Amino acid sequence: MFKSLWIFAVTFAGVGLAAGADSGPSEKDEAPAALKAYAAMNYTQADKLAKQIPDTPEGQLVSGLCDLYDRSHQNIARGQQTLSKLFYNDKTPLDCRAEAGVALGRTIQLMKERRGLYGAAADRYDHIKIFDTVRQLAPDSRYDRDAFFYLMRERLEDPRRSDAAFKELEDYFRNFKGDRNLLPPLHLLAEYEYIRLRRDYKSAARHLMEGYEIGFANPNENRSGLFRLAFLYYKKLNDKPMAVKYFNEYLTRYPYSGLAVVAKRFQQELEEDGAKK
Amino acid sequence: MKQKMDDVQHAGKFQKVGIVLAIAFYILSVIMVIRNYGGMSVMFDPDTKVITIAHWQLEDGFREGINAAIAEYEKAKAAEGVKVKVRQVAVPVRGYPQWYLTQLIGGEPADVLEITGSSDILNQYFTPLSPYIGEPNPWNKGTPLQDMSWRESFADDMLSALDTAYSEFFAVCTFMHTTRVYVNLDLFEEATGKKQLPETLSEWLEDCKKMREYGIKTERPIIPIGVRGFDKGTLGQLFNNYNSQLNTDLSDTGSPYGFGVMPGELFRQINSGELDKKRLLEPVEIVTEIGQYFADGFPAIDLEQTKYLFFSGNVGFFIDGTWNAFSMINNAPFRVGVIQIPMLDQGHPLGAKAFGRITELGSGISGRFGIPKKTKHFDLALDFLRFLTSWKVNQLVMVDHCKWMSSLKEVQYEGIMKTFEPVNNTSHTAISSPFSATGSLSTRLTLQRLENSIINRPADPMQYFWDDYLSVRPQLIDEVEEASRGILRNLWSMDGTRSALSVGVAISAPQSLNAKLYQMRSNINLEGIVSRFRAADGNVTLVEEMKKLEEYGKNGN
Repeated sequence: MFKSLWIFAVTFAGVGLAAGADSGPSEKDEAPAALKAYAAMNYTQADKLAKQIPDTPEGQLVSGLCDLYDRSHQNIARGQQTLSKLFYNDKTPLDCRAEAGVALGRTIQLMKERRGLYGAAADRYDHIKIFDTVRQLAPDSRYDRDAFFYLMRERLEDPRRSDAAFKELEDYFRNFKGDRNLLPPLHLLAEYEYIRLRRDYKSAARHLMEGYEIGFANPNENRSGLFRLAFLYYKKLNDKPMAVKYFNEYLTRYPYSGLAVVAKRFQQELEEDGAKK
Repeated sequence: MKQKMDDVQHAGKFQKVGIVLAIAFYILSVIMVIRNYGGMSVMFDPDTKVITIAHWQLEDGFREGINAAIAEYEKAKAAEGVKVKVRQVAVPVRGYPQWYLTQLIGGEPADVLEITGSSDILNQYFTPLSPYIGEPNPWNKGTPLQDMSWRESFADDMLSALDTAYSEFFAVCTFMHTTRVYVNLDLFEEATGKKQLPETLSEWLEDCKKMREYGIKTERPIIPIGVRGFDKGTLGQLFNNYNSQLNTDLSDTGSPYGFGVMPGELFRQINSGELDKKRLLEPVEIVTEIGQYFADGFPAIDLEQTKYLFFSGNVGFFIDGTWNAFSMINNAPFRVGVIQIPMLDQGHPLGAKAFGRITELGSGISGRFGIPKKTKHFDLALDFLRFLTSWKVNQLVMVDHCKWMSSLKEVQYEGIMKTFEPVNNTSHTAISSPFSATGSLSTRLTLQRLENSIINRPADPMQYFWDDYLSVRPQLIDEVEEASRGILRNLWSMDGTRSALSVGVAISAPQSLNAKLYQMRSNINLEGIVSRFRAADGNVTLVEEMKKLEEYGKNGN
């Protein structure tokens, strides 16, 4: 009696969860509730819903991702196995396949970076090949951007391949045909790595400017990036007109920020310097 | 027999009392339920919607301010033909986290809640506000903020409200605070014979000296400076303030990546002889010097005790945030003045190279309120939150009632509140000390070291501090290395966020608002990953340079 009531309750709870996750007028009508719950980072609910559709690519994707990222029920080996099956299956829909590839590649990469913790557990997979395949499958997409982002960091780290990696980075920006709004995080990475590895402030400022002109998504990054841009032009590149331009822009956009007083001081120094000449 | 009759009569009386009490409590319960539900008008009017706002701010004026806002809101909605009742629940801060979690887990939380707790809790229980912050706040019509988006209307452009772990705004901020020194004017004037309050460190130390002498002369237990010694909060405030006044120029060269300082880079400069380590140690000497005017046994005195001592009239200066200003000024049985932490001046032996005051713009913005996912009236809760953070109403609550500063732009302050305003008549900004900024252990040990320096009064406080720093170097390196491992763990979680947001884009209609929001959050997440790379690389440099630091008097002098 108790058992049948329990099954009844769980069934209705599942229906309720699915109905709750289905709301949202602008979402694709056909998207399974498991995907919606996963997108909302409600891993427990997503995993429950995915188990109701175990034979679908969406269900397998969500199950695999929850195994990787749900810290309360983490099972990395099983998650990677599920995702690799999806990824290496040509019939898997592109979105599922590409996402499975990026998540699989990234977790393998992170495990290889932490051999002290994970040992050789991820050595059976080649994350570079996986990332490259994702990029070929969905060129100029967000999957491509994400895979390239992670690959680039690793390639730049290797001193033997660093020159080639910087060239690859520039080629990527030059040849990118997708939505340019995807690029600011990559520009931010490029700015950072040019300074860290080469103290190349000219290339760093160029990337920071390009990222800023498109617009960083994090308002904090947009604000500090603008100040940094003006600062690099002033103190590192001695390009005073550009420094004045961006300090002016900073003061117009962020007059209440803590750095506004510093921007005013630098602006004044630049004006005094100009007046002396 | 008579005895039995008496017993029966007594029992009957007790039964009657019991019944009367039961009925009384039942009636009281009904009244309380009706009251809590919103009153008779709500109980008997099904069209009236009830929302609740809950918080832990029990300071003077806050609840009265919220009540005033509620009255305005109910009136404004009634004019629109919408019947609304807003309830306010204030819970003491000590019990708030438990109460708050119980509310959230129980599934029937208040509709507008002051938030606390981890990012995971916020993500699980609170509504993401990013879809709404780009729109103007409709309650700002006809005000200086009417052309700004809701986000832009905040003094910090809502940066303090951004949850970087989930790249989302789960709340908005409602007030702003700064740190000030409260002065017992009666005691000050009696002891120093002056009316002019100290502006510089030299004047302040001189006034403290006179107060101490006055205490000895009048046989009163005068404490020149009252501090929060138990949590060492004041020590940290003084150390950071004077470190910034002395070393703010290091921001120009303290990081290869731009403006600001990185602890590893400062230590590299010390190790290579480019920077004199004494520059970083001078604030220790200043705090030690100020510390001689604290109470004996100050490490055992907490905030409430210090307030009590201040109200008793025996404390000259009391350093604390402006959240206590109203109660300090109103409740003290003497006149209270408010000043900024005095400025390091040319007259002080260490003041020759000081840069003066440091800006406070953009800091201290807090009081975050969010809307739980389980609210039954989301639209109304959002509307009320917008109302509360609109230009006129936020000033009504914060400025008029609490004497707190608003979190919004374009707010003018008058009278005593002028002294609370963030310092902006300077061209310098705060910097952190490499001794205290490498982790919570480094902060704790720095404060402990400062406290010991004040108590033990070593001949050379700077050498004492440096030697002690080197003696705990292995633990500090362990802490940095653990932080680096934490960053790697965090990178795994951030990839989980990337994956979820990528799925979000995939399931949203192309070019829809949802798709754009998921994409924006995805970019925020990746931008955050770059900052984690920066932090991890910075930690590697930091550990390398910490290992190279040598004894006092060797390198970097």
